[in-house]
Amino acid sequence: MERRSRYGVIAASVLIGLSSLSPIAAEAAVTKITYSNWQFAEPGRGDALRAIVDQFNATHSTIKVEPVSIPYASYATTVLTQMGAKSGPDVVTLDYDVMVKAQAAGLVADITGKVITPTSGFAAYDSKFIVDGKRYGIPWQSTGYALICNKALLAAAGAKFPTTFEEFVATVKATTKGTDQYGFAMRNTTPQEGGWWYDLSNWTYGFGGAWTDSKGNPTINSAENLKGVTEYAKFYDAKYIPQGADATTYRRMTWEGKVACNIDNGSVPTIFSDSNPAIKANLQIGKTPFPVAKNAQILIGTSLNAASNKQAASVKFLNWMLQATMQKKIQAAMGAEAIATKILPPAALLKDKPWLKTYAKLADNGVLVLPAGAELKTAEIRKAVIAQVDKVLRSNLSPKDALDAAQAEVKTILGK
Amino acid sequence: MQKIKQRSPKQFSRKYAHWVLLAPSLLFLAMVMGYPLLRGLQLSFTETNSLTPTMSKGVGFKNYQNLFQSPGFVASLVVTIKYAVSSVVGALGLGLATALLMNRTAKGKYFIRAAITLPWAAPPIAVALIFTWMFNPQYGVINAGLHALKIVPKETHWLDSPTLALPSLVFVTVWMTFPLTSLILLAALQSVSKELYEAAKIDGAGTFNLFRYVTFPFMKPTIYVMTLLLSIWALRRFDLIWVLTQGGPVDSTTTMVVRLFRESFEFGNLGYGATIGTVGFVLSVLCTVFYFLAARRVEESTR
Repeated sequence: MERRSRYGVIAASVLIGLSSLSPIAAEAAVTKITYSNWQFAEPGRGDALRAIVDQFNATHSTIKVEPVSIPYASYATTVLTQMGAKSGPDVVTLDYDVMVKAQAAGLVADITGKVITPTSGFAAYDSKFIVDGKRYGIPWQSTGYALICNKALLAAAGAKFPTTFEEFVATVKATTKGTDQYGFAMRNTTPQEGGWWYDLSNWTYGFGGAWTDSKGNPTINSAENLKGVTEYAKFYDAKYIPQGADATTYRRMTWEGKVACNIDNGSVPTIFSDSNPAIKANLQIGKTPFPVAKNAQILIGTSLNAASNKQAASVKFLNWMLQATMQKKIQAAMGAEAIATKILPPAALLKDKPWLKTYAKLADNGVLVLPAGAELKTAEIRKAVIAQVDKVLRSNLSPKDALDAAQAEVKTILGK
Repeated sequence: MQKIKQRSPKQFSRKYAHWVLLAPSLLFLAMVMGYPLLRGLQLSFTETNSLTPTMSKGVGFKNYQNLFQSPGFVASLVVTIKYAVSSVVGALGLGLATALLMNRTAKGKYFIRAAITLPWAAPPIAVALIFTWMFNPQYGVINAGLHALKIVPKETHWLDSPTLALPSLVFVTVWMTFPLTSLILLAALQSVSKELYEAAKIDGAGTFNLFRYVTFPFMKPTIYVMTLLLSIWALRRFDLIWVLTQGGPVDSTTTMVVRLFRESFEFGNLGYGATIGTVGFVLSVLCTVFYFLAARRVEESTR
């Protein structure tokens, strides 16, 4: 019996020794990090982004990145709730307004001194990710808004690509043909409140408005904002825009030749041309047709979850993405005019998507849609303003009364 | 003391067996219902941000005070009641009508019963997404069909019109909930003895009186239970409303649950959101109490 048990101990030791050489043990040495980005859930761009992650995994034996795909509609609430509960993905891509909230709540990690500055230098908006001298993320992508028109529809109506607001009104009027064809399209429904805020900001910014002044006081009912909202409501009332159409619907109408013009961001012409290659040659893109050269800007960044215990591996992933070769790949994959660094879009990409040059040229006109000085209350302010504008469109409330009511509500929200 | 000591194991198990059998369910309920309820109640007396849930601050009744003073709350309460009443009446009415029809149909009855369960079996999110497309003003099949029949103008706005959004939402809700109501009412209908119908017919009762004096009294308890269940489901329904309208347009479909979600997860005010949740829970309890009182009255009147 004794001898038997001694052999048993030896056999067990050998097995344990051998098991350390097994693939299971090797796997244990690999640090797995999770990376969330709503773009994983997008058709086309999702696969391209996954290919980039696959490339990282193929070239790194000790770190494995796992994509976390959450649709955009529920992305911010899901990720922030997880991070608030000290869990969630290790690396998170966030809209800038969400990143600001997360930073203020201490949910994103301070990565000062850990990020290697790219050879081409960071894009100008990188400074937005540095708060009180500390870095809380890196830019991922940025895009502004421009006027996109279908040249063929404009020519058929004898209209020209508008450069002033008066020309814009004339063009839109000329290209509207009842419910068969609309001159313009933009969001106007509650389920798309987030996108509607960007669309509406183009109008108010375009007439010289802002949501707050330099001291963070609300300026919702300023004369400039009132002008923007009034003109926007006129378009709605005149039925120049398909009422009730969400972005998916009116973008489809655009590539089907039922909408003449949109004001949209840099990734939208790609959606049009991918959905209907024939429309590509008819796309004419230029500055938004408002008196002031200011438009909404989308800024997206990537941060690390402060609750993650895999900071070193996550930083390695960030630095890998910042390399010039990877930045070019990310730019091609995302079809974006501007990413983390100052790198220029590759010639092949510009040839395929010539509008990127226009969007890049207009980048200086971009203004974030966060109310300056009241960034943490963006969601509440947005809701208050959009709810009143909704009443202008659907309950015959005057723009002035609506913006006055919104101003009062925002003052209460901000405690001013 | 002496007696207890002398109690046999058989007597002991007879006395406590039901508690032992109930214990796992009670424990489960305490964990998944009791604890969240108490935690929600506790949260409602605090100022808690969803981003920093561990740093909450006690504020007494301030959240309740703010809630009852908020015009938005009163509006959402009205929308909730309108939505609950109309969807319960719709589901019960349609459910009763189809149950009566199915009870009379002999041919293909199993197929009809199976087919009618489909809307109820479909996941609410999928239903909401499909109806979003069906209601689409430009491409939706509902507009296309009704416009072809010259019933509505070309681009009728179902989900983005302050007057049509709530009825459209009720329509989808009734479409989803009437099958279950119908099947349960059918089961109740089939428990009515045929002899009773025959006796009533001999007494000269017509179709309406047969229903009023024979069928309906038998179905009353089932109708009460279904009313209670449908009311509670309507009070707490979120998925369908959120996907279809997100409470818009002009807050015409903002129910209390939609307001709760917005406050808790969009604005991060967990404490205030919990206050709305607590008030919603009290409303559900009131519904249940009302049901029990009504049921007892019916029972006493039929004794």
